[in-house]
Amino acid sequence: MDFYGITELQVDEIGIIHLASNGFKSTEEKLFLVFERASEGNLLEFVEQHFINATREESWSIVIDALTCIASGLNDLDRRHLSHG
Amino acid sequence: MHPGNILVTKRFYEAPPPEHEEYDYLLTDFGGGGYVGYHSVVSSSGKFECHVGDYIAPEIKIGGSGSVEADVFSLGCIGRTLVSLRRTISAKKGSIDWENIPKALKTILDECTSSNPLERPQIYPLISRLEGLYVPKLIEDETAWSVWDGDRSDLTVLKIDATANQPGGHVARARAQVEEMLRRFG
Repeated sequence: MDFYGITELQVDEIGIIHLASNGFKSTEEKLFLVFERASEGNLLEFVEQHFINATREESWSIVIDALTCIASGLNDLDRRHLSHG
Repeated sequence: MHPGNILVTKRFYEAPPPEHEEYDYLLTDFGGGGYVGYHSVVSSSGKFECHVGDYIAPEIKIGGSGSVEADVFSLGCIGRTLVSLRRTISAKKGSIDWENIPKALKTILDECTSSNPLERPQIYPLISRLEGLYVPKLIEDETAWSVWDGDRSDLTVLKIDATANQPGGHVARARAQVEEMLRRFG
């Protein structure tokens, strides 16, 4: 997952982010880590969405693709002597 | 590692776009120490949830530190979750042909979720085994599916050529491939 950097944004009392350009006078500014956007949400949300309309072939492909992809992610971690935990 | 901290995103391609959408799975939220509890992750519709504690290897629960073996255990648990979610959703759709889990996949998941870390597969061979699980391309071809769902785990790597779909020919051709595989591995 790509890490783009750190940014400082204005946040109101209930934690909603406001862009400086809209003239909102913020009570505080907070630091945020900015990562690559994951368009499909987390794995649970993704498979729930995709299993509904998938054929038998497609749904098994999703299961196997996901496991293969996660396993190769773990392999990358292992090569750097890391574990996910 | 659990289904809540794996994020999914559409794979980016330069033009032309692929025929089918492809996805990347991103591991996030490292350092699972804070997750040795039983909080839950709920899907956006609120229909499905997973208990995070269920994905933690037994040796971690009794105080061991993180390891690649423990991650393999979590991967096996994620696989089981996907299989059972798939079954739950297909049962709601009323289809009956979704029940079988391919023997080779079941074997992999059983090995990954072994309570003994030393019995779990090494990560690199595991990737090749997962990559070997081709899904039969001819959805109507019950020969291919019966092989895929069947007991002969070495046959599950059989990939049926989709171009063989000729009238009256594809079943015979699939059967010939099965016999060839049987001869080679039998």
